[in-house]
Amino acid sequence: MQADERNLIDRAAKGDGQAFSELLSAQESRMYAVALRMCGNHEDAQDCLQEAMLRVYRAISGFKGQSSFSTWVYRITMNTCLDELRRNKRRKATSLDEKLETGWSPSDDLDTPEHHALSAERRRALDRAIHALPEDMRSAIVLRDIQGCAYDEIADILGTNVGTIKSRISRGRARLREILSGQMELFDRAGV
Amino acid sequence: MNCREFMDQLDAYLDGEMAPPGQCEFLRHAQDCSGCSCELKNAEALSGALKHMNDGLRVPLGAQAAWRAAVRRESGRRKGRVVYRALSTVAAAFVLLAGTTVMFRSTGVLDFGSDSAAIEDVHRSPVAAPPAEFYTSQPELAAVPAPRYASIEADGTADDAEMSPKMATFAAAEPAEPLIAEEPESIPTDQAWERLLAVSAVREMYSETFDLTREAIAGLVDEYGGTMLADAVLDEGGGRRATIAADVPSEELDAFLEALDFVGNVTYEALNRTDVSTKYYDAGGRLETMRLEQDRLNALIAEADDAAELEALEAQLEGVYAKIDELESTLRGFSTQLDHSRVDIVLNEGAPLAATVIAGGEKGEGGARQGFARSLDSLGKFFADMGVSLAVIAPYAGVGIALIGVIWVGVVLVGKRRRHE
Repeated sequence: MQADERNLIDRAAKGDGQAFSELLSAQESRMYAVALRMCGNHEDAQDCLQEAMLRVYRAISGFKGQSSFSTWVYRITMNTCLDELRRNKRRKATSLDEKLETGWSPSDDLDTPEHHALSAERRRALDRAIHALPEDMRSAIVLRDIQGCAYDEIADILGTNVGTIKSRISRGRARLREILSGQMELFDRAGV
Repeated sequence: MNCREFMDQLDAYLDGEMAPPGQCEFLRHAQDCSGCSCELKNAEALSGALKHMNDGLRVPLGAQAAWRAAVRRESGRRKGRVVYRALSTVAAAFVLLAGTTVMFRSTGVLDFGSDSAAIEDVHRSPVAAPPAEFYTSQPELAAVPAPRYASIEADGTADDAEMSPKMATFAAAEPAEPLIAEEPESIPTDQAWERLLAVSAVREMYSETFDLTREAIAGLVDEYGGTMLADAVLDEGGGRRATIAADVPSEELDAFLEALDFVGNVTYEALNRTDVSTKYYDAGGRLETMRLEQDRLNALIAEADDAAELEALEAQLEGVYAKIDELESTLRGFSTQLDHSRVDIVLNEGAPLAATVIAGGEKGEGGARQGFARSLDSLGKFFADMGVSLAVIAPYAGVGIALIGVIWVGVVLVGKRRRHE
């Protein structure tokens, strides 16, 4: 852990709002990405982000540095998302198509109408497929294949062992390929 | 490598965890097998798409502002919670202390030799024997055997209906032989000398059902074997007021007062104790002396030869009889005081505030002022008792807190060690 980060954590633990804001600004985009991929829509992702930030704020005084700060924050975010998903299951189901929004901001150089349409179609297909995965597989796939976390870090975040994580990722990838088997032409062109 | 092995190795290949020799074999199989080649192509395409899913993703400004605002609110609430917790802790400690004080009061823990304790022990509490000077300094008592006070209770069942058990002890005492002859053999030096307290009580109360309550009080006096001494009603226009006096057997006083609390709303209560021990025993000793004198004079009269001497002795005897009557009367009065407690009750009609206000003028204001002073006094006493309670429980609380602290430190240390392991 870097000295700057430790210093910010110490200050935030003592209630320094400025330090907390500075510290979490570096984590905010990753937290939001995880929330968006887990929840599948902006609205729930924003709620999760806010709730996760509050949980981090409440718990930061108890952070002992046994894992990296980002791992700890990921863990809290993932738990918040899973709680939110469980709550959502109890709510009235809404159309998946209505809920799936990806929040993709196309880069300028690739923003041709054809590319934009293809990207939109591809991300919808991916989001649908990810959302169709069971929660345990989805969380592992999101952390590994989207966020690029290492296996041991994922195991730490999800509170399980590396073997289980590898198994979930393997089964998750196979399930995704199976779900997307009829739409693989969307992914033929390299790049996004 | 067959297709099954190829699929088993697919994830390792995608994660870049495959060793170079294995990787060559893996790719060679993909070249030879169209199905596996297709699987590999799809997996790589999918993996690439997933890797780039977050490209260009930005946190909406609204979401950024929302979480920062939520954290600011939480920070404000946390500060409020600190104050709230501090206040709650103080309030809880106060309530605990007040509760403890009330409990201590009801169980008599705080009565360190106070009057209420004396009341309970009125016929029981032994006190130090009066000093020898008590007898020697008084001529009549000089040669009188000290009364056997310890036997009073045992002798309390004396048949003399008119006399109290204590009087009966004096009356039944065997006359001593010569008046001046002997050193008093039983001047009590280490014997217990019973403390005698005459108890009286005052109750001020109000009731909406004035007449019924008055009747109920009279019924209670009767029920507890007491006597109504006075029952006067005064109507001041703003509500009636009854002044009731009753004598209640001392042993029934507590029960009577407790019952009284149920018939009306008590606004003031007082218990007065008067220590009559010295006067009582003094009179008892004098009576004893007079009886000895009576016997002595009777003996002299029996032996008198001279009429003049006889006349003089009989005149002395008359004087002794008069003194005996007087002392017996005094003792009877004390007995009545000890065996019966006077209870003065003021019963107001209606609510106490209304009665006070309606009475108006200086009297009403005075009543209100008096009531306020009483309340302040009670409050002051309660706070004083709270201080005493605090002093009583402080050592136990200290030990308890220290114990909790030790347990907490132990739990933290064990937790740390486990985490370390």
